Amino acid sequence: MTKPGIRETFRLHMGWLHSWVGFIAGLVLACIFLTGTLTVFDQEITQWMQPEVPLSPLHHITPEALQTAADTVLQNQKQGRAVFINLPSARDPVLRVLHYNGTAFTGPAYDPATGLLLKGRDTEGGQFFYNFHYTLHSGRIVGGILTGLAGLFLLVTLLSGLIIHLRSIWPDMVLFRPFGPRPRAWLDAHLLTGVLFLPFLLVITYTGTIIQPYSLFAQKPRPAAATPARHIETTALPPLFPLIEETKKRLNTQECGFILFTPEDIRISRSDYSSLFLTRDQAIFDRNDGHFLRIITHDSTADRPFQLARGLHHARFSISVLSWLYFLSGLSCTILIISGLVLFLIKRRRISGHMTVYKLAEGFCILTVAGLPISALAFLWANRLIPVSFPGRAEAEVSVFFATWTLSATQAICFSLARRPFAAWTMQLITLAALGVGLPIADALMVPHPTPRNIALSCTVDIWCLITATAAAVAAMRLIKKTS
Amino acid sequence: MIFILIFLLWFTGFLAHEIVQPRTRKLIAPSPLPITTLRYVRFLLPGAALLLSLHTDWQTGVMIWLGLGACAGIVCALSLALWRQNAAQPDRPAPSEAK
Repeated sequence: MTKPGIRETFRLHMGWLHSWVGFIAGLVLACIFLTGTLTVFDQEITQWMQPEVPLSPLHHITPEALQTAADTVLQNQKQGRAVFINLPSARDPVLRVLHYNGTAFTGPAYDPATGLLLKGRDTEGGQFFYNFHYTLHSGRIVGGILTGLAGLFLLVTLLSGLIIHLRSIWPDMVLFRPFGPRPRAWLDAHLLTGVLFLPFLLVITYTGTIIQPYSLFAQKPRPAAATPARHIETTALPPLFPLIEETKKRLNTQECGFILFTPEDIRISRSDYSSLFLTRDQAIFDRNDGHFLRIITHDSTADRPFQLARGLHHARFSISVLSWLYFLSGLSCTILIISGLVLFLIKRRRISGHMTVYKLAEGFCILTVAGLPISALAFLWANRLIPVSFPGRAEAEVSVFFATWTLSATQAICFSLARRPFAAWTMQLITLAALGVGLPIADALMVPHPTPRNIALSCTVDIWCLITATAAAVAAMRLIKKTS
Repeated sequence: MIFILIFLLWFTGFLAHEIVQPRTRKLIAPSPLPITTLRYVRFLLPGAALLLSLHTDWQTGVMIWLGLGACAGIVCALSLALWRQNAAQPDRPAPSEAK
C-alpha cells in the first residue's frame, strides 16, 4: 500500500478543515447570509410592513415639512428621547423622525412636501433583519463578536474549499447535475454557487469581517444609536431647510442623509447613496442660531479603504440593478452554505447516523435551513395579523418571529433525536410552502395599497413568497417520494 | 438593454466553455464552430461584456459585470442540466421494457 503524497495529505487535511469549520460556522453563517440578503431591501421591507404610508414619487422637501419634523424632534427631546431626522431619498421618499428602541430605528413618517403625518403601523420592519444580520439579536458586543468570528471562519472555509476543489473549478464551472444521485447534485450546487459567486463571497465576507471589529472597538457616534435617554436642552431649533442647502454646497453633494441633534449643535450628513465610499461626512451648525461651525470629512488616505469596505458591504450607493444583483448573490451564497450543511450530513449519515451528536447536528441544520425562513415569513404574517392599534406591536412581531423559531427548533431536534429527521424536514418544508402561498392572499385581502408604487412593492414581495413556497413544496415532494 | 446584452455575452461565453469540455462535446452534434474558435469565444465574449459594463461608470460597471456574469453562469448551468436531461430521456428504457 502506497502512502499518499504530501499534496494529497494536504488536500485531505484541508477537506477535514473545510467540512468541520464549514459545518459549525455554517449554521450561524446561513442565518447571517439569509438576513443579510433580506437587508439589501431593508427599506422596502419596512415600506411593505407599513402599507398605510403612501409611496408617492419623490417630492422636494419643503421648509414646512422640515418644521413639522423639527417640532416632533423637540417633543421627543422634552421626553428625554434621542431622535434624528432621516431625509427622503429615491428609495424611501418620506421624511422620518427615528429613535432607537433598543434593537431598531423606528418612528413616524411625514410627507416631505406637506409635512402631513403619514400614520403607519408600528413595526421594526427591515431594520429587524438588518440588526439580526450583524448582532444575531444578541447585543452589539456578543453578537458582533459572534458574527466577526463567523466571518473569519468563513474565510478559512473558503480558502480550504478552494484548495480541495482547485482541479475541478475551471472545467466544472457551469456543471450542474440536479437529476443525478443526491450527494452529486448537492455537491454540484455547492460548487456552482461557490465558484460563480466567489468574487462576491470574498468581497462581502472580507468587508463584513473587517467592519465588525471596527464597529466594536472604534465606536464612532451613530445616529442616536446607543445614546441613552437623557435630558437635552430643548430650545427651539433654527429653520433646517437653509442648513440642508448649505450642507449640500459645503460637502459638494446633491443629497443629504440625516440630521442629528446634540445639546450644542446640529449635524447634517452626506447621503449614503451619493458615493461608493461610505464617508458619513458632516456639516455642523450651531443649535441656537444655525450658523455654520465646521465640516467633518474623512478623506485621508487611511480612511479611504475602510470607507470603501463599508460602501461595498452596505451597497447603499447602488442603482436598482445592482441592488438586485446583491440580493441574488446573497441568495446564492445562502444556497452555497445550505448545500454545504446538507452535504456534510449526507456524507456522514450511513456511518454516524445513529449517534446522538449527528442527530443533534441534523436538528440544528433543519432549524437553520427551514426554521429561519419559516420564522421570517411568520414575522411578515404577524405584521398583517396583529391589529394596527395593538400596544407594543413592533415587539409583538419580533416575539412571533422568535416563538416560531423556538417551535421549529423544538420540532426539529425532537424528531431528529427520535430518528425521524425526514418527517421533520417534510413538515417544516410544507409549513414554509403554506406560509409562502398564504401571505400574498392575506396581503391582498387584509391591506389596501394606496399608490401604484405600494402595489408594485406588494407584488414583488408576493412573487418572492411564491418562489419560496414553490422551492419548499418541490423539496418536500421529493423527500416524500424518497421516503415512501 | 445594455444589461441584457452583458448577460447574453456572459451566457454565450459560458455555453462555449461548456461545449469545449469533452463530456459535453460527446453529447452534442458537431458544433457549427470549431473547438479552437470556441476556446477563444469563451474569453472574448466576457471581455466584450466588461468593456460594455465599464463605458459609463467603472466602479459600478465592474460589479454589474461580475454579478451578471454569475447569474448568467447559473442560468447556463440550469439550461444545460435541463437539456442534458431531455437528451438522455429517449435512451432510457421504459419501465415495462426494463422488467
